[in-house]
Amino acid sequence: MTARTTITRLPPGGDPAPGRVAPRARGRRPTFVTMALGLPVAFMAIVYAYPVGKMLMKSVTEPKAGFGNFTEAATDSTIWDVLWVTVRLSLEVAVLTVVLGFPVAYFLARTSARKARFLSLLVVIPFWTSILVRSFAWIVLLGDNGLVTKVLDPLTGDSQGLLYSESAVVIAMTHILLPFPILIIKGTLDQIDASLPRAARSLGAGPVRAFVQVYLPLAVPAIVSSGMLVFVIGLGFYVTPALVGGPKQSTIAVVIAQNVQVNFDWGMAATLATMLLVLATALTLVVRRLTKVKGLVSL
Amino acid sequence: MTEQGRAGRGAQMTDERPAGERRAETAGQVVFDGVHKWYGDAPAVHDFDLAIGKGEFVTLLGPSGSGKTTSLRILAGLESATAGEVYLAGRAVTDEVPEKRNIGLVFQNYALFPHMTVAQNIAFPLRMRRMKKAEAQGHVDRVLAMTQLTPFRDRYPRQLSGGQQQRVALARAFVFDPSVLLMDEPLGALDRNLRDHMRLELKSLQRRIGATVLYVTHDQDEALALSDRIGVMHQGVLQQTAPPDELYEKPVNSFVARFLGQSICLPATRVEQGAHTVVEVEGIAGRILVDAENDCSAETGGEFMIRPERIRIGTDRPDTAERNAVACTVAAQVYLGPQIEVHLRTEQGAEMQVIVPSAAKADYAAGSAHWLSWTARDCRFLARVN
Repeated sequence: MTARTTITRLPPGGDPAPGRVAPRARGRRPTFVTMALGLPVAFMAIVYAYPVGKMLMKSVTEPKAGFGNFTEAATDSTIWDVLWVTVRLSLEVAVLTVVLGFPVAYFLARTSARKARFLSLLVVIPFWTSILVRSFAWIVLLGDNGLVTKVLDPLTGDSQGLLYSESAVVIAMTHILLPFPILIIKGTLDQIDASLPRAARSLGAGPVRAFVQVYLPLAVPAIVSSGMLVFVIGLGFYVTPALVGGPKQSTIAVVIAQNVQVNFDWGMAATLATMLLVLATALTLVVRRLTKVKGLVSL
Repeated sequence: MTEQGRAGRGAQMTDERPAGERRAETAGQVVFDGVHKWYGDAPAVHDFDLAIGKGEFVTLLGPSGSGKTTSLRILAGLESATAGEVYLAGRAVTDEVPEKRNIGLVFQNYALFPHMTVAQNIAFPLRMRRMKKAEAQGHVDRVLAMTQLTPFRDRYPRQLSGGQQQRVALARAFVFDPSVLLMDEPLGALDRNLRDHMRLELKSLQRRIGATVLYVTHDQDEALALSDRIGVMHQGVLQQTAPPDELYEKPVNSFVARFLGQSICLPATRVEQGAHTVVEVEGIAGRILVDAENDCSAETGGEFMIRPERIRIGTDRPDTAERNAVACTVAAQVYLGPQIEVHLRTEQGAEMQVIVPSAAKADYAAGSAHWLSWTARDCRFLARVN
């Protein structure tokens, strides 16, 4: 490693004083920084860029070259239904996680550092549990004889479970994705100077106006970017809709899996995956343009 | 101030209204009347009485944790008083929410709204008061011109230098013509040169707009340069409130004497009280005469105090009928540029220091013997407050 030479680099233009030993020639061996950046780039190229490229290729080459797969998908109304379900689910989950996550993040940012550390841990621990396990847990909770059904029974007069419905998928996905907005928004709220709302109060703003006009605008970038993140993750969600949802809740990821595992139609699977990629990118760019919020995590 | 507070309370017999309210009418814009603040069972502010007249610049000076910021926050409504009343422009505001108090607050870190431009920041308090756009615009323009911020009106706070941000914070705090301007170490975040410059600017601006100011700082130079009156705080208690010169020349206790400027303070006991107070000072042989009016201790035990610049240093024994005198030897000297600080020790071991011009450096070599002398008028006998 030649880390030292890179880190203790002279300031630009700062020639060593005459009589001093000139710094060792750089550039022959890879420096620490190039290696630190190069390894992940190489890794991503191998495990991400290559497969994605391969997939993009498959969508236009299998079973035969051309855009046949795309015209087939575009003229199939069930594909459009699936896309609509996917977008709707992701949107519902994105809005819900942000709405539920913001108050939690607000509380975490305002409480003492020690409490916040402990409570953040409570937010993160479920995050470490497998999505599969958590989705199965929701099957138990939301099923016909599940806890949720039993508790709600006297209120709704309905002993049918929520399982295999859109509500079930939204509930389970919201639960799984909730930590993202909480942690991202908390990160931003932590940066907001606590004297700002107080300054607003002293300048004549009531508590509500101080919050809405001073505090909230500063949190908007985090709210938008975390919502965007959840939305994009939601577009590709597979396990939860497949387990908790019914046939009507088939998301595009579920249909892709069917094409691969049941129909052995790799070409169509690749086509749908490409459509998902384009959709996610397009929507991200639209949100970015509309809200002027750059990047998924902006502090 | 304490005396005035007591007089006010005593007179309550003849007038039904609370003392503070009557004082608020006569004495001024801001009145603290017997304000206490406890955190759990730790007192942060104890029996705080202070009246600030319209257009007056009053500074609370004290070390950190002395309760000065807490007092300011109580006035601003950011902190509630455990006991006592606060009056603003003759109106009791003790239980009022901050936004109704009409107070201009300048924070140490400025607390400018980062998502608003300079003009928007300054217009914020006007907008909160539902002032018409055109009228608010006029006020903003006027204040921008006063603080020389007109070219920066559309910039965001992060695009401004520290001094400019400071001016925006100031402009925002007085644009709505508040009853009082509160400033909590507003120059604390600036570097030395800029701080001196902003100090002058602040004072001239305050004079021009005739603002009533309550200023909080731990920097005594700042307090001396800016204030009409200074209140020295220590352990939650207002020790003394006086104009800067009086505070320096006539401190009432040893804390004030030590905190403001250089002083020699030695434990002492009063042995006689009359035309002169006669004290015995630890480490000084013989008795020391103190003018009766310089005797500020209620008890016989206290501290003898003198400012180094009031001490005359010489090689000959002075006329002891006219002056207090003590023989000393030089222990060390500290070079300060134009002057040197000479540290001397009496035969009994008391340490005293005097300031002499650097040119006389050679006369004060370590070990050389000198006489220190001072008049009864220049020294004081103070209550001991550590």
